[in-house]
Order: sequence, then C-alpha cells, then structure tokens
Amino acid sequence: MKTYDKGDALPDDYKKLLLNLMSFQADSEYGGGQRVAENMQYAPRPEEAYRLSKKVMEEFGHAYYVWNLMAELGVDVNVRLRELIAHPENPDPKVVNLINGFRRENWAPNFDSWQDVALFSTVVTPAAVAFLGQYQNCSYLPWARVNVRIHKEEHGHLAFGVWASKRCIEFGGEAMRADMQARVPKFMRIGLGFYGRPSAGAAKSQMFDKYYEYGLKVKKPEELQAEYLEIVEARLKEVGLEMPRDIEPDYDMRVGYEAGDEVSSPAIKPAAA
Amino acid sequence: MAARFPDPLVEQRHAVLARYGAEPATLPAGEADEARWTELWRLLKPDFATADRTQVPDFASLAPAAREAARAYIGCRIEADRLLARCKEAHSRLARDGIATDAVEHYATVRDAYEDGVMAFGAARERLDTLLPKTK
Repeated sequence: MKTYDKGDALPDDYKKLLLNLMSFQADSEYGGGQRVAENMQYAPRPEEAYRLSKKVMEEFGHAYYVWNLMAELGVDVNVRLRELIAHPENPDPKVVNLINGFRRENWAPNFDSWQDVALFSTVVTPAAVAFLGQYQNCSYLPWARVNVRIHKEEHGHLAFGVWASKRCIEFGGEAMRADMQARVPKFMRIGLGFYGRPSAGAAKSQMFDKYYEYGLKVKKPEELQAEYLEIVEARLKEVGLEMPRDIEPDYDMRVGYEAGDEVSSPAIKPAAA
Repeated sequence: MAARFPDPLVEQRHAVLARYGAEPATLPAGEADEARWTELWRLLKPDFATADRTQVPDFASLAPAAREAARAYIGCRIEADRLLARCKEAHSRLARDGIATDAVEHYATVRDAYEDGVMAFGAARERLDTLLPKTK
C-alpha cells in the first residue's frame, strides 16, 4: 500500500476521495456532538448529565482534529463549523457532509428516554469504534495518526454505554432490564448498517473498491461487521442483556462515513498571494 | 459573565446541569454554611436513590463520615463546572478565531481536564455511596 505523509503531493483522485471521507468524519463528529447534547434532556441524574456533557466535548474535539488536517490540505474548514453552529438541526448539504443518521430528523425518533441514550452508546458506538479503527492504518499517515488518538477516546464512549446501561438497571430493576432488552433491536439495525453495503454482490457499494485500492479503507464491510458483532455481544452480556439474532441492517440511516456513493469536493481555499 | 457555548443549541441543552446547582460555581464558605451545603445536597442526592435505597437522607441526617464524603462529592461537581467553563471558552475561541493547531491542542488539554473532573465526580459518588444506608 502506497502511503502519503504531511506535505507529500497527493494524486488528484486520491485527494478527492480522502477529503470526502475526512469531511464526513469531521462534520459528523461535530454534528454527532450536537445530537448527543440534545440527549442531555433525558439525563435522569447529575452524574449522567455530566458524563454525557463530557461526551459532547469529546465529539467536538474529534471534529477539530480532523478539520485541522483538512485545513492543512487547503480546505476552508471554518465555513463548515460556522454552518453547523448556525443550522444545527438542518445544515446545508452543500456546505457540510453530515451523515444521514446524525441529521436531527433521523436521529431524534430513536430517542424517548435515557435508556435509549445508554443503549445507543452500548449498541451503536461499537460500530463506530470498529469502523473508525480502520483509519488508524490508512494510507494517509497524518489522518491515521489522528485516528489513533480518536480511537483511544472512542473506547471511553464504549465504557459510558455500559456504565449508563448498568445504572439504568440499578435504578429501575428488572422491569427496566426488560424495557431495555426490547429496545436493543432498533439500535442493532443501525449498528449493522454502519459499514455500508457488502463489498461484493449485486448490492455492493460502487465506491468501496476505490477506497480499498487507495488504502483509505483497509477493511471490508463484512470484516467490520464481524468485529462489531463480537464487541456488541460482549458489551450486552456485561450489561446483562441478550444480543438478538437475525436483525436486518438499516443501510439507509447511513451512520457510516461512506454515506453513499456520491463524492463531494470540499471547497479548497485559494492559495495565499 | 459566565462562559457560554458558541452553539445556542448546545448551550440550551447544557441548561440541564443547572438542575444540579451548576453555576455560580462556588463552594460554600466553610463547613458552617449549613444552609448552602443542604441546598446543594438536595439537588444532587437523586444520584443515590437506587432501587435498594428509595430514601436518601437529608444533609442534616447524614452520619459524620457520609457528610464529609458528601462535601467532597459536591466539591467535585463544582470543580467540574469550572473545568466545563474553560472548555466553553476554548470552544468559543475556535469558533471566533478559526481552527488552528494551537487552538485545537488547547481545546484538547482543557477537554481532558474536564473529562478528569467528571470522572473524579463519579469516583466521589462511588465513595459516598458506600457510606449511605440501604433502605431495602
């Protein structure tokens, strides 16, 4: 796999695909942080509220790491931050690459209680951890290094989900456990759809082969899905919940950063005179 | 003036912290300020109302060791609020002055400190939890 480091000349096609993935990651980390902040309304106790607030701050930090790299590649990233601040509920898709799952209209219907918040981190976050984990070994080394840092922090989010879910049961008893078990499938559908469509067959993603060839994605959706299932089963067991079988992935939520086959080109700032 | 997020939505949602006494982030003036400790404890004690502890004592009814641990727990919450304010300021700087390496690293530093503060709040809660009686 050919790799590139800071300052290396990047082939045009490679740079376009790289920036597409980076912009989805950065914009969606920030937009995801805004969605997580919305969920603070469900925090039932002080520690839950503070721990969710901490998660918001971490998501914003991840966006800043990646935006900073994009700025080095000539992208005007400040316009992206401004757009997300000004229009948090429906940012302009011409300005930012926010994944569908983090648009408020798609996100909000999944939540009506704190147990949903806890389960999202227990059941869906492992998908993000597995997905983003692959970027640690991607061909653009500055982005790989930033993702090592992000990956370490995402593990804290996994811990949050298990902690919050256990606390729900500690406070709500067996009735709460049954309630949460019934909510697991809706989040598993999102988790399973995180990686995009399979890498082979009629439903395959049109873009996957190019990302894979360039070393921007280093794992196939099937590999990531297997990794995800292993993590989520262990997490659910830790909480005292069962992993449901035969759940169909929801690809339309596009919580993964591939988010379809269209490749956008983030605006490159004109070179300084 | 208290620090604010540049995002109105994020600021609005963080208002939930006010339920627990967030800001003004000041500790009561010594142990003698019983009324203030009592009020801060009232806001935080739902954190201990587990299924096997349906009644959480008022501040005045806490045993001496639990009272001391409760003061430490309240102190951690106030410290977390102070660290959150620094995060807000760093966040605002990025929104105002633009994304640049030094500002991003500063944000990471203050965010790490906030994270540590929140985890310390949790650890103080766990210590106090062992000192409170169960009611079932």
